Amino acid sequence: MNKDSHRDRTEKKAEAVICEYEGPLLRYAMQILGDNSLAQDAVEKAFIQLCKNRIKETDFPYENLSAELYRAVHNAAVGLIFRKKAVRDRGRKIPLASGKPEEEVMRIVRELDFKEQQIVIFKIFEQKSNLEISRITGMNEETIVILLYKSVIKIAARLKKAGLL
Amino acid sequence: MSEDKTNGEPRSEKKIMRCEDIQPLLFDYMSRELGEGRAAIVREHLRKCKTCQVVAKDIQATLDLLHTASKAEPKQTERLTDKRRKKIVWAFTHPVMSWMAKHMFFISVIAAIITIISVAAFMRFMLEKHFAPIKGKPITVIIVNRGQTNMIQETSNIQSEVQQRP
Repeated sequence: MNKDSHRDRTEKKAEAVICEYEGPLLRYAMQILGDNSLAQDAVEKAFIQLCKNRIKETDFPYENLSAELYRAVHNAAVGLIFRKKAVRDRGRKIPLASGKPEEEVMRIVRELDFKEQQIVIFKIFEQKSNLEISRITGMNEETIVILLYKSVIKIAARLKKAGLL
Repeated sequence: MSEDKTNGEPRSEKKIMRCEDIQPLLFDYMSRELGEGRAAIVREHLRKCKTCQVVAKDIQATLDLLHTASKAEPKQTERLTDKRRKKIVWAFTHPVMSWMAKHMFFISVIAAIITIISVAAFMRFMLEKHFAPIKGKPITVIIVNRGQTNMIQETSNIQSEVQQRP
């Protein structure tokens, strides 16, 4: 009885956490991976990896959970990208950009270093503040400002090269 | 090189007014995230410096393209599928089972090793129990066979056989 009620409470907590974070995390994973199914994989992996050990804590969901989930999704997405590249190297078919300008822009973003890509997504697409990005990535705000500037300049140069700017 | 450097105008904020100091701040300036003091410095610099004006225009154009591209991304589902959701909830409620399911290969290898060691230990124990020589003082056994006398001096199961004979 007691065990069942504890399980029910845990289940409710899990449902609440999933409902709260799945949308933003899926959007973030989608921007990194560009594939809905892979994004779902990354988010699922992040939830399972991170939350199962922490849900027993009394203060769950805790303050830093959002940042930890974003980090876990990022790591899972990076792992999936490496796996995807390995698959591509083995000669299997991976859908490529169709040549539309928007897709070309997103492709350029996805070709950035993972840290640059992460900051561009958080700052430009997700409209997060430097402080929020700092909490998620662990970088200080000065570094974020400089990295963002370098990333945007790099994107601008590649867009010019592609004739889009 | 920026104009403010080339035309030799006197500058009070000599350090902050350099283009390489200003340009990283352009993004925050354009998104109005810069404090009023620094924003004023950037504004003043931009008014004079042609190089930074070009950079600012490039950044703005890039940002516009990025925003457009982001909005044009194929619509992704905002929810996990029911199957995945159930899997996550199950992982929450059964953390140990979930861990085992995730590390199935590792657990299988460990289980196989433990089984092999256990079987080996059991077999050794049985062999020692039934077939090992009896421990104790060495004995001397004299076997008389057709007038010849053989003497065996060792620890052996023969001891018990000899003792049992009338």
